[in-house]
Amino acid sequence: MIAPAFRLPGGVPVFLEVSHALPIVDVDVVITRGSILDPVGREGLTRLTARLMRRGPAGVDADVFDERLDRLGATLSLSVGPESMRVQGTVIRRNLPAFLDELAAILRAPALREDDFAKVKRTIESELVQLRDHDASLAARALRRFLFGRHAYGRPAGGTLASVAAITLDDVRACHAARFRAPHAIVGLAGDVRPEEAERLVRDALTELPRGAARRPPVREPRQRPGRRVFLVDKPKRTQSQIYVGTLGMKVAEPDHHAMMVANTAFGGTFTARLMKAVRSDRGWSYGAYSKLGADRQREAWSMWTHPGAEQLVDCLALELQLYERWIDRGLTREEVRRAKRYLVKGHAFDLETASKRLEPKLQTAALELPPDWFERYPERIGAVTRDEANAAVRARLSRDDLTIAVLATATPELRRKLAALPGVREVRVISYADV
Amino acid sequence: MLPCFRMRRPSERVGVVPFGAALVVERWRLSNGLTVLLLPDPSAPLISYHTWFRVGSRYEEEGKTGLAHFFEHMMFNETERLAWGEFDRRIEEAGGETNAATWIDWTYYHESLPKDGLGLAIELEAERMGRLVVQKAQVESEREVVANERRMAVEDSVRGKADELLAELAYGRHHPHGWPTIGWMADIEGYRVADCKAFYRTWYAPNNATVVVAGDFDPADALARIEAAYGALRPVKLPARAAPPPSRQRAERRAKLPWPTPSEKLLIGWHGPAQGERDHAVAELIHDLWIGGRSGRLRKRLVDDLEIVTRIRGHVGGLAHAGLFDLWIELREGVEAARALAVVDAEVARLAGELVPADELDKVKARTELFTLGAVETMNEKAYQVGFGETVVGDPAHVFARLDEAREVTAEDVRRVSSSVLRTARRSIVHVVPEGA
Repeated sequence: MIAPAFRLPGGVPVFLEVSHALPIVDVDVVITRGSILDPVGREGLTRLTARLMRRGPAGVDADVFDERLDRLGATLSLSVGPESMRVQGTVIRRNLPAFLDELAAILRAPALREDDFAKVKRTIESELVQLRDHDASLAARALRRFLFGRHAYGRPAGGTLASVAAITLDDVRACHAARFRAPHAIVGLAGDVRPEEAERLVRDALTELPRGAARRPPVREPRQRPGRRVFLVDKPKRTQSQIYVGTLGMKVAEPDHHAMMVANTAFGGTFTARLMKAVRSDRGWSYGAYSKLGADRQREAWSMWTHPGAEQLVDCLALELQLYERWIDRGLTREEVRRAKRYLVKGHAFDLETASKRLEPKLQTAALELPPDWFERYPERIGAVTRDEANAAVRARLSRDDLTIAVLATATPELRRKLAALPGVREVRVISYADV
Repeated sequence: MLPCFRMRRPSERVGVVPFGAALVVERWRLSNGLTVLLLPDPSAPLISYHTWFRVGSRYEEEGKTGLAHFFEHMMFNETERLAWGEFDRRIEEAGGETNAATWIDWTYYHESLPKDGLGLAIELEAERMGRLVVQKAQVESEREVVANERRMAVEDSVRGKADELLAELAYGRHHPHGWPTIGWMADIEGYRVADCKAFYRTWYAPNNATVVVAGDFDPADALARIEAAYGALRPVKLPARAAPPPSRQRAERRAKLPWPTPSEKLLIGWHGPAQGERDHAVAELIHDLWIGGRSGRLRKRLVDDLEIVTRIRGHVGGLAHAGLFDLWIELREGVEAARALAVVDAEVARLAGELVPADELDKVKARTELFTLGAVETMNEKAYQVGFGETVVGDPAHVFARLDEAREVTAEDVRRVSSSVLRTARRSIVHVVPEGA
């Protein structure tokens, strides 16, 4: 059973994983409020807040803060997902107390200065522009945008040039005040630290987060859009395409999640899975070919990804659609299910390899409010999945006909025509890669 | 009188090397020349099994560039005893992961498995070292896959294309470090079955390989299994290996790369030391002094103070012979690359003119310590470090020896190495310009 080692005032659970194998310690603070709370038109607010917090606490210049962390032999990063934010650091064991003090200072009282705010905004804007160099990221971003539409999961956590420009420093200060509260926080330490020492250090450093929970606002269910729709992200001079095919999947806590995990692993989760075999091994069309089952509080995406040469794009996409339909219509074989289960159950040993790996499921279990035995019983539940259950989960959760297809390639009239002729495709819309 | 049989020991222990504070690497050599490095570590019920071959892209011939990498793909195909796909299937069924990588000096294959999978890893790796089947169908299928890999990594990647151009610029197209490890596309299109068979016979032999086992296993049992599986493989006469000729670059070289990209970019490469030289440790510290952490001199100046750069990355080539010390700089939209280059020049001059303050050097050393420890957390990382160290510099504990060297670096070392390495006449620059600009 996963249970916190202790709790801080305000109820903050603290999880510990001790290992003296190496003299380093990982520190994690999860805040269970993420980018889906960004107001419409101010997408990127949570991320901008995190970036500004990383500039240091009140009274300490950003340059000085960076120097201090580097001198401690520490890394510190803040990241943002749809449902949570995360502060993660690693430090040489001897400097853990000083590092916790620095970390606590930016959680409690970040400077959030005017000049830093302007600087971070300019930096984020330049990063959004540079994103145009990364074809796979552009296509993945397009998939989420068009799959989820106006739902919060479709709005980019990093924002857009327009939404970032609209954010004010008051927005950031309000965001920090609302999110960084004790009831939203989960703390984890992993590595070379004794339990009693960890408790003393964490209590000294992290007890002053404000109390009082901001209510988690209701988030509506994402809605499936009918039909197969292709969004062709046009970028010049591409010799290779990026294909992302997606549909709505499931919530992590749903009872058939383990069955769906097995089914997805057999379809596109490993090197010998159906998708990889058909696309890469049999035809050599794409270096990679994988499918992914998203997992979060709301219904996340199921998607598959390939990147064939430009001349094989249409054939590869047609093949993927065939494979997908066959998966839903005819299901998996008994042998495929058996192999996928063995892979997942035996490979579970890797989740326990290091202290930081052992900490991760504890944080996830708490953040997603899963049953405390969810991780512990994972191998048993995977092992119990039957072929019928795996196939039923696929039919129940994935739509055969409602698919969003994001393709990055150099658009031509011929390509548009061929994409439009694929089975079930209702529309092909072309967008510039600069507008994703 | 009975004849006297002398039992030849199938393997001999040729050393024990400390690996950090708590672990040791046992070095064994089989009679067929196979080196076996055993790193027992019971901290998790897992093993990682690596096979490092001392062949990479610098051993190729012009017209056949990329063959070492192509052959890495071939090794996942059929063997005399394993049908096509069985290698991967058996690893996955055992709950494991397998992959491989090729670079200028080496090719390595790795499996990570629950501890009961050690026998499987030994069986499969020994099988493909000695009994790979190389036929036309496999060559044609992998040719398409590798061509697609090249499109992904080079043809449609601004960074990949710039890297390729920099190597060609710095070494010349005919130098073994000057052609891409993935190979020129025309060469990939031209491989024949005979090329692959010849490559396999020449380089894939026990006396050109090192097996590394890290994890929760019994060394005596592992060694006995390895002897049984590999003992019958015969060594080959390896071709003479001349070191690649040193670069004769005496003047700065520049090339422009027009690309569909929103901003200018710079890739700068200086000829640097080889991995095994002590100056390589100094070069790595200089690299970290510049762009390590957020307070690195160049990062702070270009990204934070002047706000003319979005991202800066760098790398000190870890090769058996002299590699490149490179910097990749992504400028902000509308900013000319010359502005960033002027800052780089000023920081080079500063390193040559002023001794680095002691506290700044201590800061960089603290970061080096953190990243060294972070590089040996998992079994796979430990096995990688052992295999890399053994193959490139002949020391399986090189990762820790390097940390010790880094701790000893002085401010004067930094000035000396920056003066000798970061010279304008010894650098090459790829300037990426947005198309149409």
